Amino acid sequence: MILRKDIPSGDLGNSLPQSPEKLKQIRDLIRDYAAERELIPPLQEEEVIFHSGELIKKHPELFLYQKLLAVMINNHSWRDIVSGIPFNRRILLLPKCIAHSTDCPAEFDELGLLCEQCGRCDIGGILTRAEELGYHALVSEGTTTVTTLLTSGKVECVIGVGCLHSFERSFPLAVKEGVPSIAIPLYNNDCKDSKLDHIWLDEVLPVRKESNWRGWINIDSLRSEVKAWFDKEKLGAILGGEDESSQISINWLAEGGKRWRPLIMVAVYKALMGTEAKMDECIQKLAVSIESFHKASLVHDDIVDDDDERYDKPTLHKQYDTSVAINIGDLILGYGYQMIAESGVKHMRKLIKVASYGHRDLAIGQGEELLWRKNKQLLSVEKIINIFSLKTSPAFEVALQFGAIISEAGDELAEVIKAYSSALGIAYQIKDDLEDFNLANLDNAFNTIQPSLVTAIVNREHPEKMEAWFKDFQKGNGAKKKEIWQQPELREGIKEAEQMLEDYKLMALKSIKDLKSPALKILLTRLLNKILNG
Amino acid sequence: MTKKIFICGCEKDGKIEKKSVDRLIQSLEEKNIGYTYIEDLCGSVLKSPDDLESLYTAEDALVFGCQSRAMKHLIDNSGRKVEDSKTEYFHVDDEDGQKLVQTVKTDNPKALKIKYSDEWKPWYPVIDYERCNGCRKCLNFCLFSVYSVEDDGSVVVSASANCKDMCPACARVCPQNAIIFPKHQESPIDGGEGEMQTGDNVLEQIQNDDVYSVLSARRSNFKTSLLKKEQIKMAEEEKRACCAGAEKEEKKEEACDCDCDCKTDESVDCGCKDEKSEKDCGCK
Repeated sequence: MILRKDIPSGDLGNSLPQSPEKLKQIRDLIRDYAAERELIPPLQEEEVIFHSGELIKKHPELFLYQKLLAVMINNHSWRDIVSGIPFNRRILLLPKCIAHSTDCPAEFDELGLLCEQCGRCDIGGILTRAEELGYHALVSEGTTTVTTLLTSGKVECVIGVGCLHSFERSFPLAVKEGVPSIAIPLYNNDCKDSKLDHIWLDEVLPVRKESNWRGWINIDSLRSEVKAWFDKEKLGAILGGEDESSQISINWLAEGGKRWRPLIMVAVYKALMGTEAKMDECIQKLAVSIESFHKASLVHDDIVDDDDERYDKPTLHKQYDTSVAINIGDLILGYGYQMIAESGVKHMRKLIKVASYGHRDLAIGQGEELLWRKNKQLLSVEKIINIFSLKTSPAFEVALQFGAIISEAGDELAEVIKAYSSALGIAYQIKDDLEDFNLANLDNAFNTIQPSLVTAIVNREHPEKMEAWFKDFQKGNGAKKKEIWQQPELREGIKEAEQMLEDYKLMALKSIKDLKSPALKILLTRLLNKILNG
Repeated sequence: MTKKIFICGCEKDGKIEKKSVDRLIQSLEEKNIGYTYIEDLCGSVLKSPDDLESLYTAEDALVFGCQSRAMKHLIDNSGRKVEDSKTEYFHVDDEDGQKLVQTVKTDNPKALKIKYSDEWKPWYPVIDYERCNGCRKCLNFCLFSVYSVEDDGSVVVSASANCKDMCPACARVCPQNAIIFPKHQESPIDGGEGEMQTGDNVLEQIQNDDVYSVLSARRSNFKTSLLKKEQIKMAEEEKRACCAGAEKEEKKEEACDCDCDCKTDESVDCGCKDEKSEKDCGCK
C-alpha cells in the first residue's frame, strides 16, 4: 500500500533508524507537525502519503523514512481515540519473528504462538506487562490472524508490532473497518530474530485517558436492539388500527428485512451523542418512520417489477392483488409521516423536509426507469448513474440525515451526508448490477426491466453487438448465452463497471474526509464497507 | 537391477543427522556400490540445477535424504525430470530404503560429489501438486511475492529467493497442507506425514463470536494446559525420585544380613561375604 506505486523497488523510503533516540526524535517532529493541523482518523492512504510528503518537504533528511513517517502519522491520528479505549478492549499483536528462532519451545495454534514465557526472547516480558494492564495479546505468524481480526468488524482497537512490509498489508484493512490502531515497526524486515524499540512500545501500551472514551458502536448488537422495535405488538401499539388494511401493513413492516435504514439512523445518533444517546420512544418512532418509507417503496417496486417473492415469501400483490398492494403501500407511506409527527422530536420541520425530499426523489428516479422501460431504448451511462443516484441514495440519505438532525448537527454535516449518500447509493447499485453478471444470473443481466450499467457501457462501445445479444436472450438461446458470456467486449464492460464501483467508494470516503467527529468518521467508513461488502 | 543412488547431506543448516548419512555411505562403500553425494539438494536445485543433470535424467534411482515427499516434489517441480522415471525417494533412516540398497547393482562403483558452495541458505517452499487445489491463499498471504499464478491458473513458486529464512507461515495457512519447507523442523511442514495441528478452530470462532471472550478463553485454556504440563512434569520427577528411592531401599533389603559395622560406618573394611555365593556381599 503505502507508496508502493511511487517507489518501484529497493529500500528507498523503506528504512528505519536503528536507534530509539532517533525514533523518538521523529515522533516528536510528527507531534509538532500534527499540532498545527487536525488529523481526524481514519485517514485514508492518500492522506497519510500526503502528510509524509509534507514532512519530507520540511525535513528533507527524512526522505529515507517515507514509509515510517506514514505509519507514525497514522499512529498519531489515532492517539487520542486509542487512549479512550479501555485496556481490555485492546488487542496487542506481536509477530512470531521476535521469538528465538531456534530455541523457542512454544507450540502453535491457529491464532499463533502459545508463548510459554521461557525468557529466551522478549515476548514473555511484553506479554506479562500487557496482560497486567488488561490487554489481550497474540503472537501471530504471518498475516492471517491479523487479517481475520481486522476484517471481523468486531475489534475495537489494535496495537500492532510488525515489519513495515506487514503494515502495508494490514493498513488498508484497518482503514476499511475504521479500527483504531497504532503500529510499531520492527527494526528489521528479516522475519527472524527481529527486534523492536521497547521504549516506543512502553510509551504506547499504558496510554489511557478515560475522558476520551466515546463508546464503541457494536453494529451487530445495535441491530438486534433495533430489530426488537419492529415486533408486531409494539408496532400495533404505536401505529394503531384494528382494520384489515392496517393489520396487513403492520405485518408487512414487522416481517423481514435487515433494518439497515433505522440502524443507520441510530448508529449516527450514537456516534454523535456518545453516552448521552437515549433510545427512547421518540427515537423508536423515528426508526419506524424511516423503515415505513422504505417498506412502502418495496411494495410498489414489487408491483412494477412483477416480482413473485420477497424475503422468501410471496410479495404483497401476489398474496392479495395489485390494487390491495398499491393501497397498502400508500398506507405505509402515511405511517412514515405519522411517526415523525407523533415522535415529539425537536426539529420536526427539518425531518419532514428531509423525508419528503427523499420520497420525491425516489419517485422521480423510479419514474425515469419506468418511462425508459416503456421506450425500450438502452440508456446512456450518465443517465443510468443518475437513475441509480435518485433511486437508491435517498434511502441512505434520509436515515443519515435523521441521525444527524436528532443529534443537533449543523448544515455543514448535512452537506457531507448528501455527498456521501449519493456516492454510496450509486456504488450500491453498481455492485447490485455487477452481481447479475455471472453465468448463473445472466438472464437477469440482460433483462429489459432494470437498467444495467454494464450493458450501457458495452452498448456505448459496441451497439451492434449489444443489439444482437439482447435478441439472443429474448429468444432464450441457452448455448448462445455461454458464448456471449465469454465475449471480450462484455468482459471489458464488467471491468469498467468494477472500476466505477471503486471510484464511487473512493468518492464516498473523500466526502467524509473533513468530518470533525472521529466517531462519525469511523462509523461512516465502517458502514460503507459493511453495506458494500457485507 | 541397476539403479543410481543419490544421497543428500542437507549440509546448509541442515536437518538430517550426519550420523545417519555417514552410516548409509559406509554401508555402500563396504559393498562397493557407487553413489552420488549431493551436499545440499535444495541449494543445488535453485542455484546450480545443471549439476543435477544426472539426477533429473536418471530413469531409475534411489534418492536418500530428508522426507521423501519433500524430495519427490522438489525434483518433480523442477520441470527437468525425465518422464517415466522410476526414481524412488527415502528418508536416510528408512529401513525399507536401506534394505533396497543392499540389492542394488551399479555400473559405476565410484563415489561422486555435487557441491553447493553458495552462501545463501536454501529456504523456500515446495508445492505438493497432488494436494494443492489452487486456492491461492498462499499467494495472497505471502508478503514477499514468492508465489505467482501461471496462465493456466496454477500457483507456482516463482521467486524462491525472496522467501524469508525460517518463515514457514504460508505452509500453516495452506488448507491442503500442500506446502513443504524441506528444512523445517516439524512434520508435516517438512514434507512428513501427519496432520497440521488445528486446535479448536479459533479463527472461525473469532468470526462468529465475541472476539474478546474467545481470546480470553484461549489464554486461560493455555495457561491451564501449561499448568498441567508443569504438573505432569513435576509428577514425573516425583515418580522418578520415588522410584529411585524405592530402588535404593530394595537394594538395602537385598543386602546380606551380616551384622558387621560396615552398614553404618563406611570406613570399616569388613570384607564380609554373601553366605550363599561366597562373593562380596556388597552391603556397603
